[in-house]
Amino acid sequence: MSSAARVLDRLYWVVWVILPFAILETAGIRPIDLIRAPASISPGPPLATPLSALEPWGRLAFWGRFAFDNLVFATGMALGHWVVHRAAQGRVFTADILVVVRSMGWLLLLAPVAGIVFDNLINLAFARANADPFAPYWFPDPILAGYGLFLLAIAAALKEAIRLRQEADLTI
Amino acid sequence: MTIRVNLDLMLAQRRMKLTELSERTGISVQNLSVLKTGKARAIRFSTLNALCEALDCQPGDLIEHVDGPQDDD
Repeated sequence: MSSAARVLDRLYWVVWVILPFAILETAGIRPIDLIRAPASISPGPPLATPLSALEPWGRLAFWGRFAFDNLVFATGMALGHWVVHRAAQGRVFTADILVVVRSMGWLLLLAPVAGIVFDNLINLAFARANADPFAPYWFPDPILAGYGLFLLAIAAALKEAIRLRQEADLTI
Repeated sequence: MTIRVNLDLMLAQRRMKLTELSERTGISVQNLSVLKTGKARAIRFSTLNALCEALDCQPGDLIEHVDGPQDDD
């Protein structure tokens, strides 16, 4: 398992290198513009209603959502990389890995719930800017939540694996 | 219910040190120590066989059942 985990560990570093470019792409910013013409940057894809039309709290909610999503993603990646790095060292069935995997599961399960708050604030801000009726929605991202539940299930299996490993270690 | 390993008793009776038992059985000193201190959760038949041969005793001489508080499993 260690050799496969070592390969994954190296691939994770490649993902970290790509991450800033992916974030810039999501924001609609070309990396070259950061160097050549930073003053001309207009973050975000063309919107029917520009961000400048929103009230300050609306703009705050929009960029808060952007920052929140990237924070959740980066945190999840950092935790995942830590697990892979430990696996590359051959230390898999330990209590701290269990804590990290469980934390990742809860992060992915609860992040969509927080996302609903941001999304409804953003929708409200755009509705007020466009003089449209506000239509709230209450369903969190089921895919992220599903991945969170999957990781919690993995954590439960890992807990049992750690117990069996401890039994095996103390079988003389 | 407790299963007690009387390894230290047998070592004293055979006037043998742990390191010598380790060399005779091929079981590491650390593992023998785990057995001696009662921290082992299970023992393999192969280990029991090696210990009985080295100490010239029966399994019953090495392990005994003692009434007492329930083990946490």
